[in-house]
Amino acid sequence: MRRRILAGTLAVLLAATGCASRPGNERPAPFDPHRSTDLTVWNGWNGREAAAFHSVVADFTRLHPNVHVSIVDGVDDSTIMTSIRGGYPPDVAAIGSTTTMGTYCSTGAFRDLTGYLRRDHVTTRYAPVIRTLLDFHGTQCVMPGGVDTFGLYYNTDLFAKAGVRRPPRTWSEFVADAKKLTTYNKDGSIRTLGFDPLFSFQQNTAIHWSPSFGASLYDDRGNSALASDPGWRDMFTAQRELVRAIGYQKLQRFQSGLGAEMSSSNAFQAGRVAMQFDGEWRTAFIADQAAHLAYDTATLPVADDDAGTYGAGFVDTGVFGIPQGAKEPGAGWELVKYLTQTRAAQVKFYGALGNVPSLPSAATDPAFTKRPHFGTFVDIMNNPDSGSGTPTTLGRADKDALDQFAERWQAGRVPDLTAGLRGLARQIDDLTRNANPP
Amino acid sequence: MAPYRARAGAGSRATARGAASRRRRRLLALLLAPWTIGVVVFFGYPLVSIIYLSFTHYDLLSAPRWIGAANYAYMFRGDQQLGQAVRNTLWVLCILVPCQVLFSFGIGLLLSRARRGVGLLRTVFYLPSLTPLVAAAMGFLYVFNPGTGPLNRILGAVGVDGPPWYTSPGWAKPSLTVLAVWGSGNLIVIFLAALLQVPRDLYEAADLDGAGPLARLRHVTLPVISPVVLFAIVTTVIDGLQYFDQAYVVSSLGNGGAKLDDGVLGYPEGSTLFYPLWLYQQGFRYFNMGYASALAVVMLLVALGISSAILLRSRSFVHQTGGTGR
Repeated sequence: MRRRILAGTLAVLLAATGCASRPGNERPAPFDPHRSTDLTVWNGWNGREAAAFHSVVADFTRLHPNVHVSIVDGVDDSTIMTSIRGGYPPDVAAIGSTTTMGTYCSTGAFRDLTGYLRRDHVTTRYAPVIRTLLDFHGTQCVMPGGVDTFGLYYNTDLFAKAGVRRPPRTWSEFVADAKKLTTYNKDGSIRTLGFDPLFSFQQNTAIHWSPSFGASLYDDRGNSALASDPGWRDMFTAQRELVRAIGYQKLQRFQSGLGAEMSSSNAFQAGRVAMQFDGEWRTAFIADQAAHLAYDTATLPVADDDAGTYGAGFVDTGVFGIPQGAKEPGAGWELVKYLTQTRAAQVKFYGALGNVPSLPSAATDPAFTKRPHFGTFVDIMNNPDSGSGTPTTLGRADKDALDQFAERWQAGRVPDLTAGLRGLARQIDDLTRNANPP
Repeated sequence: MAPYRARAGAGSRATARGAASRRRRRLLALLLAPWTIGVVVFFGYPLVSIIYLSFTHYDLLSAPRWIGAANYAYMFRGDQQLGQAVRNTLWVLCILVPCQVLFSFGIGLLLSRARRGVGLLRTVFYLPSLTPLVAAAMGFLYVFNPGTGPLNRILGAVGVDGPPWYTSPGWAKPSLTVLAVWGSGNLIVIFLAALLQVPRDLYEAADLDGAGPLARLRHVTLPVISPVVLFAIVTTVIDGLQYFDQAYVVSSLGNGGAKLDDGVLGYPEGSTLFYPLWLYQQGFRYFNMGYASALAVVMLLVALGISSAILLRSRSFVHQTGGTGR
């Protein structure tokens, strides 16, 4: 009894200090364009990207002169969550990926937008992979913004030098090309690397590779599919073979001497690696930092027995949400609608950022389809076989566990892959159970 | 009448004394109020909240939900990463902490004997502790970068093949130890102050008895500064249990990532995943605050346990001077 009294008292205390959520009215709030409205928007962009966002929001305020938007840049997830918990959230929050979307949606921290979509007849036919990402157990609490897709960047000069005529389409072609493109110094160390297969190197993560092997994180019942989906075993085996062919220690030593990912001395931009898995944003970085680099892009090679799926890749999207407790949800939705449903806004903003716009009519704009090397990434988004990291209430915990396993695996610290994957699946199922107690 | 008057006088004096005592207590309470409020608000309330939250499922957004000891059960039976985090933290306690204490003591000893340039040397050794921890860690990542950093280039120039430092699971913790030792300025100053307080006549007496430098250190210096050694050990152990900032930077940026919040903490291969990092990851990256609170409670208990053990054991090696022992 005493424990209950203590628990009750503390719960009341915590609720009083703003630690508890405030279930909101999910009915769509109206927007009155004639009323003077102050809107607060938080986003994670900085510098050039933030300036582009400010510019597109200014276009919105020109359309709605009574709406005064205050923008806060460089805000991360935990700050947004703290503000929601504290009862002082922004009216609109922009988040860079869908990784934490599950937490926002499952807790009601972001409003369910289904009512708004129905009221305003928003029936956009997004690419299949985007539709899958947006659906969280039958509800939609975010709207998609700029899409990140992952493809293969290859140095055409190094390809010509090594006699490789076209980018590889299957994994065995890829391994053969990677070996052919690797050159060594007299002491046996790597001079130029065909491809760095080590996980944790820049965008090389297991989840980014998974669509090439048709591997899914979860099965239909929501259990981890790491042990049951043969794609994972194939992927890890293929990766390890490539690591062994060059040598783990050699790769580590070479990798540790490379420049930082987002700097001008990026390994691919500096010509140190001939092929690299990377996001569509790299095209903008190359244009800015290594304009003379001779390169092209292609989709990622796929497993030999899955050649029919060539063209697929990993996809994720930035999202906009309206936090529970927002003071002006109606005007907030109007801005979100403008940013995500207006072709001109998407072309302007994501053209400046170098992301693929999620809005299909914007993605077909010549600004993207005719942009050098960029069409590959639009195609990846639209490919029906493209995959994504399933948003769950775990946030990034499952992907982190997968990455940690991948690091141990490539270092040769997982003697039995099947048993290791079984243990990893169990670990993720445990995480899920712990995150969703009965 | 006189006795009656006398009793009345005694009564009024007693009443006056009581009133004065109450006033004194009220004044004391008033003077102590800022401290008391601070302790209750910034220590008591968070502590009670953390203990309560450790028995709940709390994702930072919805209201905490009572789940009994489920978080503790998961900690001891289900959390597969925790073992690695505990092992890494034990490494800090067993290797990093002794290195830091011994290095600080050694430098303090040298500085206490220095004849020339004392001010300059003290400044040089103290300066690193003024550097913000994150900036220092980023600087070390640059200097120790095996491919592009100056250290391995210098080593290469003298024919030594430099190790991969922060990018290798075997070298990451020793490299962090180098960083921790480099920033031990505060501890050096504490040891130096203690060493300068050792009475000279004790050394002179030891000299007369024919004691060499090692004997003087063992039988004079160490016993006299043993309370300071105890303080240094306890505070460094507690700091070691809370080891976070440098590990967080190295974990996040060690693989060439661009942002502190990117990637998996613990790079490379979980070798820098220390207990506080795992706690932070659970609370603020996985939004699993109930479980993070349980981890915090266990850390608090372990810190209390270790500190108590050291303090109890200290009676056998800490030199007590003066007083009756009461």
